[in-house]
Order: sequence, then structure tokens, then C-alpha cells
Amino acid sequence: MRESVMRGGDARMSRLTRRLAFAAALVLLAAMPYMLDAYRLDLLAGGLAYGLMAASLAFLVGHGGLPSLGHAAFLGVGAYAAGLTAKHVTPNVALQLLVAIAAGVLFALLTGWFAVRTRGFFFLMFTLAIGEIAVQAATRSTRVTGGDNGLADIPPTGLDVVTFYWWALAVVAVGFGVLVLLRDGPLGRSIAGARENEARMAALGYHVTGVRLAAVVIAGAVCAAGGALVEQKDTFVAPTHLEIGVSVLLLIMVLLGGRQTLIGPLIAGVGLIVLRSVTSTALGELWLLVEGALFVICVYLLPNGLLGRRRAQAA
Amino acid sequence: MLRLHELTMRFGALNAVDGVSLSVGEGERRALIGPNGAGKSTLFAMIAGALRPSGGTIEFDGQDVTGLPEHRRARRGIARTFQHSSLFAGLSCAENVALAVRARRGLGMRAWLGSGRNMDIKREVTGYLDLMELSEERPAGALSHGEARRLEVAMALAQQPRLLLLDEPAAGMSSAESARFAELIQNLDTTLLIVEHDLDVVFAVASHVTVLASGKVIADGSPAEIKASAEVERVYLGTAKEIWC
Amino acid sequence: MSLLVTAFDGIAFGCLLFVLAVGLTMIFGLLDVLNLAHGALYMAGGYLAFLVIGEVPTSLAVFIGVALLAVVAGLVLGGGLSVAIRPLTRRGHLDQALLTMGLAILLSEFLLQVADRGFHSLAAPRGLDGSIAGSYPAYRVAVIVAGLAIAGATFWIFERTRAGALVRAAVDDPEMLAASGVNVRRIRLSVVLAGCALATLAGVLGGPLLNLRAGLDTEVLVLALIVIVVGGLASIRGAALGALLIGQVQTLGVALVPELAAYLLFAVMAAVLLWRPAGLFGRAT
Repeated sequence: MRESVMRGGDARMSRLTRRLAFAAALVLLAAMPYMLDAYRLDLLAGGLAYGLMAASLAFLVGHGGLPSLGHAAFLGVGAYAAGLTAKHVTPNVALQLLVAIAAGVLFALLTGWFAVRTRGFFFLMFTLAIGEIAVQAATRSTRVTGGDNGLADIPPTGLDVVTFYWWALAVVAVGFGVLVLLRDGPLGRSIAGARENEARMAALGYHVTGVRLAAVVIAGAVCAAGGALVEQKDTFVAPTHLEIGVSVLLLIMVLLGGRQTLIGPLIAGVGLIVLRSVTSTALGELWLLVEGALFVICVYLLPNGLLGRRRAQAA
Repeated sequence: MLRLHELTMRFGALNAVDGVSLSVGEGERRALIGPNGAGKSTLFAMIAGALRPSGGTIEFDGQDVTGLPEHRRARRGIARTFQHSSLFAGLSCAENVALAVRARRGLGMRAWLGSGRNMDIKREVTGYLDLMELSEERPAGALSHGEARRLEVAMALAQQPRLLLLDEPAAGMSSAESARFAELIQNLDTTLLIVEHDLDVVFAVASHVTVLASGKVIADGSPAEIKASAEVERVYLGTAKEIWC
Repeated sequence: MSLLVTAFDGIAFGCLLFVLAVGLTMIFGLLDVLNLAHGALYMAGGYLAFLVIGEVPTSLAVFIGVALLAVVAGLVLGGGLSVAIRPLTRRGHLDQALLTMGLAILLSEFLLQVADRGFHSLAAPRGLDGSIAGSYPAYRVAVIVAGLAIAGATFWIFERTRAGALVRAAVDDPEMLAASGVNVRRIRLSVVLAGCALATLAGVLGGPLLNLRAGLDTEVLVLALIVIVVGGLASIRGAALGALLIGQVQTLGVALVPELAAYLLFAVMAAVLLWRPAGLFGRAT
């Protein structure tokens, strides 16, 4: 089924062109170790991880119509799960990733089960509260998480910078591909349907709560994978990784990249992380002020608003 | 096939539907008429499962479905159209119908489908759109009123229901459109329950007519009997003139 | 006995939460704007007091003076807020909520730049820095008294005065009210100003109770949000009940099951949402 009406940005190119562009970008990214030094490569790996998480949030917010203010909680769940696995179970990065994804799914089911029963403001508040409660939980469960000091003494992955970069790139590429395929598959279309008209979905025989929950689980699992990469990169995770500021950062990536697409937020994510790092010596703590200003500007300048979707164009 | 027993819906002090009992047999085409506020749409919403009745029971296929959620009833074969078009405004017409087709085939929660099955679905979607003379690519939010009504029906048909509930399908259609529409419905071989103000459509389509006023059944019979009934003339056709003239 | 003291702490905390949450819930009820900057306003009140009087005890008169200054700051910030969200009125309520979130980050980061990122706490004013009945801190009793006074005043204004009746009417049916010649915009503005002023006032009141630090804004915002989720949006009664409940969860809960304290909040909120999706006093919509 052609989706040219809906997919706007993505669909201006044909499916073939898109696949070719994706492959070309992948080759270019895979060749980065031959062009960048270790520091920049490490930075790019982090940027890709955040880009993947931004794409997962775009899936939830733009495609699913579920505006979450606490998405960083999934980053935290994935990062802590991967870190704890590395510390206590295995140095195998792939196994750590799988545990992180499983934890993300579990956390999504647990919180999403309640969250998807709420609408509008309640969903906003509920997700914000979940995000903050996750921070509290990470801070207070000192014995497991190391509390405020973070999870220390995580053994290094044993991968050198280049190998780790390729690993991160592979995870991001697969994660992103899965998001795109799911969005365009039957379940993804059902999620779009639930975003557009819940009453009709129920009348057609869909269990709307289940469809919405599926959106949360998909986004949560992919975000947790990104969180695992963040932990593996620095072999460190602390409650600051899942603070509300991080959720807001992810939202800015989504707003900047355009919530109608998945690729936009991915690119914006990489760009913003690189930008933050480049300006960090100049800006320091002022970065957070810049972030707030960016957020405000994004909200003002967005023609359709975060939930406006394409209604204006459709009508 | 459908049996309502003392079905009641109270909104505060108002009895929108007040102890309605009726049964619709397999293959029957039953029309439900009555003045505005008679409780027809409320009755529909209860049969479809969108509203929980305050009292009474609903039996479908010999089974009590009163407590069954809406989506489960849809899967058992009850489909409805909405009085005010309720479409997926941001999605194309084809996607609107495809959502219905996939739901019926139980594929709506699949992560992925092979291209064979996708083609199957697409063919079926095109069939329903052609039947209703709709183009595939236009977003549902950009349709004219008449087209939106037709898309409503196309989606309900795509569910291939055993019981089809049509809530004022011809509202806002021109007389030519509604005549064509009546013809289309006559050719369906599904059990039908239709609420309609356009009495030409009602008498053309229905095999049996039930008249509702103030939430109660006040008359019941063949189209000819209803036409002849003085009571119906007084409460419905009379007031109808006042409302519309 | 010590649990009784903790429960009393909970009442003091609940009173503080009420002062914060009542403005949030009324702004929501009247404007359909979820003011996510409410926590940052609280923080602004606290930091303003810290910048003016520092961490040393002052006389009660100075403390009250600072509180009044915070109220003025709240009015000014509230005015800015209502100007900032006006262009988004047609854009939908979620965008307005997100804008307030951005403004919250700007405000709280600005405060942290002006002060610093360390921990600070206000001292209770002289005369209230001792304890009464043997060992209970007098300042907490003062917070309870102040909280009850503000709650009483709010109820009195809403239930007994013409202004309150107008606000209630504006919540129920703004079109009807506007049609009868009342300036609904002015009512809305007054409610935003009052709500923001209460938030900054709460920041001063809470200064001696909660440490000033980075992240304080989100923490109190989330608590206030949970209060109104539990109590029901746009309900003063609900805000009062929710605040007392969450106050106990945060004090008694922490004392009884410290390991589970964070999850307790989630459990309370989830339970209320399942049992009464619109909150204890909310109207189903």
C-alpha cells in the first residue's frame, strides 16, 4: 500500500530511493573509523545511540500520538540493566543488550499498562511522574544502583573504540530498521489508526488499549537498546541519565527532526549530541539554558504543534 | 439472531432507552424509525457495545453479549456505521478500509505481512472502494460529506458483518445518491438494522419496521402496516413534518 | 509516638503541597493549560528568598517581607506566562503544556546560574526556629497554620464571594459567562496570577523544609501533579485531599518502607487512575 498521503517527508522519495539512501548512509557511517579520530568516533557512537532513542520517541509521539514526557526512564532501564548484567553476569555486549531490551519491554508493560488507559493531560502527567519516580528509584535503591554516585566499577566491554563504534552502528541500524518496518506493517498501521480515531478502531474490532500498549512496548524496547549503548560506551550510568532534562532533550530531537518521520529525529539526535559536545567547553552549564531556549523555540515555530499531525493539510 | 430484552439506558433522570425488547431474525432487514431523541442512536451504541446499558440484556446468536466489550462484539460479526462520520481523518481512504479488512482477518496486530497477503488485502480494499466509488489515495479528512458517508459504509462492509448496524447512512445525501444507496443495500445478504430519517430509503430497504418514541417501542410491523398506522402518523410522521418543514 | 510526629510532618508537607497544587489545578480548570512551569515558580520563590536573606535566620518581619516579595515576583512571572502562552491558544492544549515545560527549564536554569548548583536551605525565622511541645519544630506548625489559612481563604473566596462565583462559572461555562457581559479573559488572567503567586509563596514557605537544589522544580512539580491526578483536575477540594494524602505517602511512607517509597507514589497514582480515572473529585468527561 502506498503511503504517500501520510508519510510526507519520508514518502516524497520512492521506497527504492529511500532504501538506497539508507544503504549509502550506512556505508558512509561504517567508513567513519577511517576518517575520524578516536575521540570523535566515540562521540559519534553516543550521538547515534541518542538518535535511536529519539527515533523511538518519535514512534511513540508522532506515530502513536502518545506524548510522553518521561521517555528517559527507558534509557535508564536499559542502561542499568546492561550495566548490572556486565557487572554481575557476562562481559558479552550482545547478551547485555538483550537483557536491556527485555528489561525495557518489562518496564513498558508495567508502566504502559496504566499509562495507555489515560488520555491527553493525564498521559502527559503520568509519564512525567513515571520519569521522576524512575529517577527516585535509581537514587534510593543504593544497594543495587549505587544511588546518586551511579553504578560504578562496571567492567569495560573489552572492545576498542573502532570495534565499539561498529557495534553501536549495527545496533542503531537494526533498531531503526525495526522501527521503520514495524511502523509500516499492520501493527504500525493499527497504531496510527488508534492515534486517529479510537472509537472507530474499537468498532472495527481492535482492542485499542492493546494497540496503544504495543506502541509503548516497541518504543520502550528500542529506547532501552539505546540506553544499553550509552552505558556500554562509558561503562557508567547514574540517575542523571534519566532525569527529566534528558526526556526533554529527546523531545527536542523529535521536534527538531520532525515528529512525522523517524529519520528526522535520528539525524537531529546525532546533530544535537555532537553540537552539545562541541560547545561544551564554551557553554558548560549554560548548555541547559540553550536546551530550554531551543525547546521553547521549537514549540513556537512548529506549524502543526506536537499533536497537530497533518490534519491541517488533510482538511 | 439479535434479541434485546428490556434494554434500558438512563442518563441521570432521563430514560433515553426505556425497556426496549425486540428481536431481529437472520437475514432480516429491520428499520428503526422515530423522532429525534427517541433513543435510536443510544440503542445502536448499546448493541455495538460502545455504551453499557443501565439494564436489560442483549443476545447475539443465542449468546448473552451484554457485558462483552465493543471490539469483541465486532469480532463476532457486529459492524456499525456512525451517525456522524467517524473516520481516520489523517489516513487515506484505502488505509481506512484496509484497517477494517485486516481487523476482520485477524491480522491487525501482526508485526509484518508477506507481500502475497498484502496484495490480497489491497485487492479487497480496492473492491470495496470501487463499490462505493471512492478513490484510494485521498485522505479521509478531505472527503466531501457524501463521500465520507460512503466511506463509512465501505468500512462497515469490509468487516463482512453478520449483523450490520447503519446509523442514518443516507443523511445529507442527495435524493439520487440515496436511491442508489438503497439499491446497494437491498443487494446485501447480511442481517441489517438501519436507523434512517429518509422514509423513502426506509420503505425501499426494510422488510420490517420498528417505531421508537421517547425510548419506547410504540409500533412494530411490515412497512405497509407502519405506513397505514395512525399512531405512527401522529407521533412520527406528523412531528417529522414539523421538524423538517 | 515517633510515627505520630512523622504523620504530623506529613500534614505540614501536605499543606505546602496544597498551596502549590491549588494554583496548578485552578489554572488548568480555567485555561485548560497544564502549567508545567509550576515547579520552577516554586523554585523561583525559594531562590529569591535565598538570594535576599541567605541561609541565616532572620526576624519574622523580614521573612514575611521576603514572602510578600516572592508573591510580587510570582505575579510578574504569571503575567509573563500568560503573555507567552497566548500565541499558542489556537494550537491545542498539549503544545501549551510543552511550552510551559520549556519555560520551566529556562527559569530554573537561570536561577541555578544566578545562585549556584549546590544545596541550600532557608533558615526558619527567629521565633519559629525553636520547638514546641517539647521537641516538635515550631516552623512546621507555622507551615500548617499558614497552609490551613490559605486553604480557608481559597475556599472562602470560591464559595462565598462574587469573584469566586465568577471563577466557578468560568470553569463550568465560559461561553455563557462571556455572553452575559463578563470579561472572562480578565478572570483567567487573575487566576493565572494568583496561582503563580501561590507557587512562589510556597517556595518561600517550603525553603526551610526542602533543600534548594537542581532538580527541585521537577520534584515538586511531579508531586503537585500527582496531587491533582489523585484529587481530580480543577477541584479545590480534590487538591486539598490529594495534598494531605500525598503528604502522608511522602513522610509516613518513607518512614515505614524507605526502600519502596518511590514506588509508593506510583502505586497510589496508578490505583486512583484505575479506580477513578478522573481522580477522586474529578468530573468524568
